[in-house]
Amino acid sequence: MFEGERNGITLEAVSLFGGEIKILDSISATFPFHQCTVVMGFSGSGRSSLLKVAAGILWPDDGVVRVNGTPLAKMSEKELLEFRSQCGFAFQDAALWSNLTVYQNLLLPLQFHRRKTPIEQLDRKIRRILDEFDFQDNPQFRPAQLSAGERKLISLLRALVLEPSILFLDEPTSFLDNVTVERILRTLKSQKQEGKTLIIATHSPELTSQLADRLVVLKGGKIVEQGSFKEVVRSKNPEVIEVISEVLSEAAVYDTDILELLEDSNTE
Amino acid sequence: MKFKIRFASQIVGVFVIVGVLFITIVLVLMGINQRWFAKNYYFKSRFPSANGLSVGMPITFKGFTIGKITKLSLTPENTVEIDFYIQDTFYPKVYENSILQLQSNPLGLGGGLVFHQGKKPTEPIPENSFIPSLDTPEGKYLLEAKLVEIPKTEDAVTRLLGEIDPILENLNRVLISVNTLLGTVTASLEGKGPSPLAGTLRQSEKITENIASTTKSLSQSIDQLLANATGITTNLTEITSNLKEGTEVLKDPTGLVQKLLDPKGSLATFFDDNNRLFDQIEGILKEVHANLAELRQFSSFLNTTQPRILGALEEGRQAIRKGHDVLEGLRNNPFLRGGIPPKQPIPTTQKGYRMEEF
Amino acid sequence: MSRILEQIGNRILVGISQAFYAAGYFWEILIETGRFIRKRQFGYGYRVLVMQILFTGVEALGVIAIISLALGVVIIVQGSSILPQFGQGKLVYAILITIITRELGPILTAFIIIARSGTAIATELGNAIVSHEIEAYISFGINPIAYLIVPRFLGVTISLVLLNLYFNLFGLLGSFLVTQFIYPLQMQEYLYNLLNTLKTQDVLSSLVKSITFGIIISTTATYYGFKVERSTTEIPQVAIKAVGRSFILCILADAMITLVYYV
Repeated sequence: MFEGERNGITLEAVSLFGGEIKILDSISATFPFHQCTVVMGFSGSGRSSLLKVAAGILWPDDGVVRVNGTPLAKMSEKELLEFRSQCGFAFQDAALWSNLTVYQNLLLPLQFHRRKTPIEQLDRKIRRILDEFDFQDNPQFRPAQLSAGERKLISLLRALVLEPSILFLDEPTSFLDNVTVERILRTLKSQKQEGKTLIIATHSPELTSQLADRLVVLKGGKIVEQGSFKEVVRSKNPEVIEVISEVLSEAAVYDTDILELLEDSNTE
Repeated sequence: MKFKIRFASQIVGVFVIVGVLFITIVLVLMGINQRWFAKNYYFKSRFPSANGLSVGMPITFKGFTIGKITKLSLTPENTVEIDFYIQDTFYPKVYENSILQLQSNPLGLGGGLVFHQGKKPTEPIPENSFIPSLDTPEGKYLLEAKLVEIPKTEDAVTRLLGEIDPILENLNRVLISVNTLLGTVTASLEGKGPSPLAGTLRQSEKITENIASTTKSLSQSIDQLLANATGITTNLTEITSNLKEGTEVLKDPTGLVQKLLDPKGSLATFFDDNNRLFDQIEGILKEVHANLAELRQFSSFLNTTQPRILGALEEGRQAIRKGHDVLEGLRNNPFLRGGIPPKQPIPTTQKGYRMEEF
Repeated sequence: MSRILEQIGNRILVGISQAFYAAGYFWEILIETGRFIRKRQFGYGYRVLVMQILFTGVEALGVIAIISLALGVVIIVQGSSILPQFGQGKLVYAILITIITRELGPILTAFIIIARSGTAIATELGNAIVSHEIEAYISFGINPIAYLIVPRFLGVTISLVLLNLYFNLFGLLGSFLVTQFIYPLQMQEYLYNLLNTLKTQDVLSSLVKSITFGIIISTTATYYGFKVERSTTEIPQVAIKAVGRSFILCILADAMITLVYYV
């Protein structure tokens, strides 16, 4: 359904409110399939919300989200489920199910979407993916027993476990050590080569430079610029230059946990 | 992993099963106890009025509840038709010619719909047939034809009356024996000349009257009886003193001779009639003597029976007091239904406080 | 003046829309519950149901047992020492059934469940929202109502019905056994009279009440749990609201059912 057509996810005049505050202000954007789109912006510019709206997790208060031209709101329950099974979403704060073990966190989506697959096969798949990313701790631990970096890793693995064709990654590399970041980068590259769609919100210059086909620059809930990586980077728009330079240097300068945490709580 | 988490399913399973088992057992026991599954046999009956009848009213047989009224309806002929059922365990008791009787208590308590079995044991009559009530001609006919028998019922009041009955009978018997004795005394004194003796006779008659009126009044007022009995006693004392007087008169020969001679006025006749007069006097004296002996016997008999009469009266009085208590209790206790419960001696708290030593 | 009217009007409108929202929410739960029961969903939902019964039902058993035992003993001892003085010794059974089976059994278990599980559910769901766990479910196409609410809804309701049964078990039979030590009664006589006094309506009323309370508690707790939007400070607030609202709704429902029973 989503393969083959070089269409994508389009947002038309999408607005989102958080109480009185306008988080997204009539945004129109396109995320073409089989490409990597990186969303850039200051903290609090609405990057996470944009990703969630595009993934159909949050329903916009105004505007339409289309997948291959079909509005999400008009999809049947079955179509919506089909779309979701094609999506993997890694949350900025991991958002692991705290009352389940790490293992169960990975198993639940598999159990839900592959009901007919025998449990042994699912078990093999989980062990393989854990080994691949060299997860050292006991998978029977609860998320609360893991470090922040491990939680983020598991969140990413949970998004990958269904082998989706569209990946939404919200700050996939923050909190992680360099070895893991390296490994994730490699994985994302191979995913991209397989023709998967990547939509990433990140500060990381590494990820941006190595993966991005397209850039979307956000500021204060509005799109400042969007287009191919090369176009946007060379944009003469002072706001774009400001965002790109600040975001990239921000990441370069404040690479410490405490500041990251502060930034995290301000994101929304 | 915690034991509770690992065996969550098993624990929850036991929890659910025990709960479900409990309610199932309770429902089954309730069903058995309240006869949800037992068959009821339905019958009809007719009464002139629905007074005292109500849906759900139990039908009893020898004190057992054997069924209930399920429906009351007024027929076009203005009689009341009732539908009722008899429980399957009592169904074989429903012989032919059975009737229903609406019993009401004079005090308005403890009445009920009573089932009376036909006299002759037969196969139980088929369902939905008609069982007449005693208040209809059919029922009365069955009773008169002795096809059904209504046993004597006992309620609080009949029991009380039953208690008084033998006492009264006892009293009656004593008084009758007194009466007959006095009758013989009267007979022996009848027609005899001397004035004190005639007085005795009259007194005796009065006694008999007194006793007769006493016997009659007993059925009306037992309280009066005691006074009457005292009257009897005083009368008897009077008799005795009269007799004494008579005896004393006889003891004085001169007075007697004078009196005896007086009517004829001549002494000659006294000597000329070949001792006829003397013989006559002697006979009278003998008779008087015999009478006096009998009287002595009677007065000694009365002396022995007097405590018995008093005892009988006292007993009657106690029985009446008891009956009064019961009636008082019935009137005062709004909760009481279905007879008088056995009295339980309950030490009153008020008494306890006073009696206790501090 | 017009401003006051406007405020009143606004408040009424908000109230109505909230009522509609709550009704829609409840309807959604019912639909998903129907689905849950019809086609046994994949293991996870079932597992949540089992755990919910474990936490709500099994773990509250101790409290329920103590309360009902004590209550039953008090009624039996008081009743069988005072009532025979009026010649109404048999009333003790009617009182036992009215208090334990019909009135206090359902409402006391409901109160205990509100205090234990109502707060727990509201807090847990509030936390899940703040930590974006709910969004994680949605991102996989897992309906949070079907997989979070329905097992809790069923679990709390089933637990409440079962706890009410246990309340009766302990309150009617357990208390009898305890009473044996202080105030001996005839076992057979006790059971016979109890079973004869117990009416189908008593059992029915008790069951209807506990089912209603279970529905009220689980719906209210999950509803308020889902009302959390983004910050952890909202969680205690919604927990308190869930408890308060559950109490009021349970008591109102109790009064209503009792009235219906007697009218």
